[in-house]
Amino acid sequence: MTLSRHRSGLVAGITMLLAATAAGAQDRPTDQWLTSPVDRTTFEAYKDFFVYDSEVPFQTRLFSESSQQGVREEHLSFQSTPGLTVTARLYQAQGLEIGDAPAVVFLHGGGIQGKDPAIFVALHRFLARAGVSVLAIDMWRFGERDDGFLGGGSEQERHELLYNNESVYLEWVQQTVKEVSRSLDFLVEERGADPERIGLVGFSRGAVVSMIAGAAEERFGAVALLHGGHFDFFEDGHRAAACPANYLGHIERPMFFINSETDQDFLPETAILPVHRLAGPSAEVYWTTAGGHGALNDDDRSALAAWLKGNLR
Amino acid sequence: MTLPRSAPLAAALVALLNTLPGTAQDRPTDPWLTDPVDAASFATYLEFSSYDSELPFDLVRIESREAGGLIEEEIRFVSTQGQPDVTGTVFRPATAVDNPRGVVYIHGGNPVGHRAGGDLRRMQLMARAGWTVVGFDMLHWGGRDEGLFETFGAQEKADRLYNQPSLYLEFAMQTVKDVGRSFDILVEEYGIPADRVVLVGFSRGAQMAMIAGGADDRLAAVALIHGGHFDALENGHRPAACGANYIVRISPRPLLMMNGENDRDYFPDTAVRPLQRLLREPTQIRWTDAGHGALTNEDHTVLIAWLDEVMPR
Repeated sequence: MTLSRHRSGLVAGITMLLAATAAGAQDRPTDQWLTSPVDRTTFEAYKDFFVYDSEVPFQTRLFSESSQQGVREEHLSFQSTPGLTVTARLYQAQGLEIGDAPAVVFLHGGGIQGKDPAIFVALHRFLARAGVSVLAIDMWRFGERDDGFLGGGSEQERHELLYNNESVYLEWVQQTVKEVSRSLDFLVEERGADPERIGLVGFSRGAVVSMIAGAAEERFGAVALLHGGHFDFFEDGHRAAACPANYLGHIERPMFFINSETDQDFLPETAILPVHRLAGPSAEVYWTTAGGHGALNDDDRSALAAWLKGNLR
Repeated sequence: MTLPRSAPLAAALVALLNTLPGTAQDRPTDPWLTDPVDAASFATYLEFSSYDSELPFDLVRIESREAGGLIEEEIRFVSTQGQPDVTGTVFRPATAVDNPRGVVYIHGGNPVGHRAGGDLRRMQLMARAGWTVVGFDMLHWGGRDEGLFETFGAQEKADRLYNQPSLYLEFAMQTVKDVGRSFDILVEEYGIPADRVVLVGFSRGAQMAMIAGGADDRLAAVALIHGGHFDALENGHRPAACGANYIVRISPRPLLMMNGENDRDYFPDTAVRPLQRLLREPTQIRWTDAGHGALTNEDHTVLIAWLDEVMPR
């Protein structure tokens, strides 16, 4: 008997949910870097692996342009590293020159749909209307870049094939960090953004990677981490070079967390609070009351927009 | 105006002029050639060269033939996810040998990859001496040529790969992984005991072999034939792609370096002797009067004898 993709995904999801319910936060795996990050020499050695060729032509392709509800959107792609193309959407307030306003690179959560689920589109448009341009990119293997690597893209598959597959995950992180930097280059070189006013925003899995990219790429003026943490509920290990704990302390620029005390994916006690401690007292922490993992309400979005505008002046 | 036929010739002449005697003193160097990175930095390199050993090989035995007392088997296998399959050839004695031994062989920088005449000859010689030898194509060469190079001229290889620090680092790390996977193939598919596998590299393959040999301590011994630090047209690389940072870590495993005093690709004084000064025992160094790539029967006899010495039958 062959289960349909939806049904097998549902079964896997229920199995994981049951496992999640049965296990307590105390049983979650951790690692030594969460309490004792690697030293600066090691961190500097990691940075070597995130270097990319900035001379590679972008080969920008514009698929469509539209304007609605005060927001101009471009659907486009550009070459990040030789042979790899990033798909993206750029959101800007109508009538606003991108170089006259702050801009952010946005990394989506771990859903296979990448940057385009309604929750992200709503956030991107909200930020654009608030005067923060957003370049939302599909991370490698996600969204329009789904090449079948993640199977059907279920929670279980993503963990088996990527997040808990340590060497593969490190490669993925490495590529994503390079693409975040290339996205910054793209905003400046291809769209005229002000290099002094570009931030990085990551959501859930995108927040995990943003902790790494935000440290590796020092040109970001501010870093906002939404619903992120150390391990998500089904993660059980990663390489030191792919551990956000080894990067957070090196961001040394304004940092903003939005987390939920009822997050059931990144558990507060084991995955969120230790990360906040590593970020240091200067990082701003905003606890949302919108709900559990991934929930954002208009207050949260407004707080994010205000923080970005205040720190990317 | 195009110069399709004369351009490669001109490039070759320029390359040749660049390598004329007297220019050795002008060759660039780097700090690691005298002061390799520390253990902590080196440990980070190992993270980035790790691979998923659980990934199925999906080994395809394309063609097998027997001639001259050897079985020659063309193969392809999956090395790492998302990379082109590795193409290679396994040479082994036609009659079973007691206490089998294995060689992973890395070719020089010629267009046909591991199937260049000199490389084939060396692999066959080692197989006739009783070794099971797997030679594989490095990424961008032979059966894995995906168009990075057009002419495979020295200047083109320097411009497009060797002097592209981030791309070259990716290439070096992939090659280390491919060596590891070739090792695994010998052990898991060809029955070679894991403690009886050595690594041999020629020219660019030797440059990679010092990196792979330093990174993968399962390799019982390493032979570097006509290799060195920078070739005549290289001018810089990342520390994680610098052979100097790895070759010092091959000891206490045996190392053979075979070089020519008249090598005009890897200059003895700037590219070879500084590496040799870093070495610790057990090391065997052989200098001949040869130019680059010119190996005599005696050289090959020395290689086979050294292999027999470090890994007795």
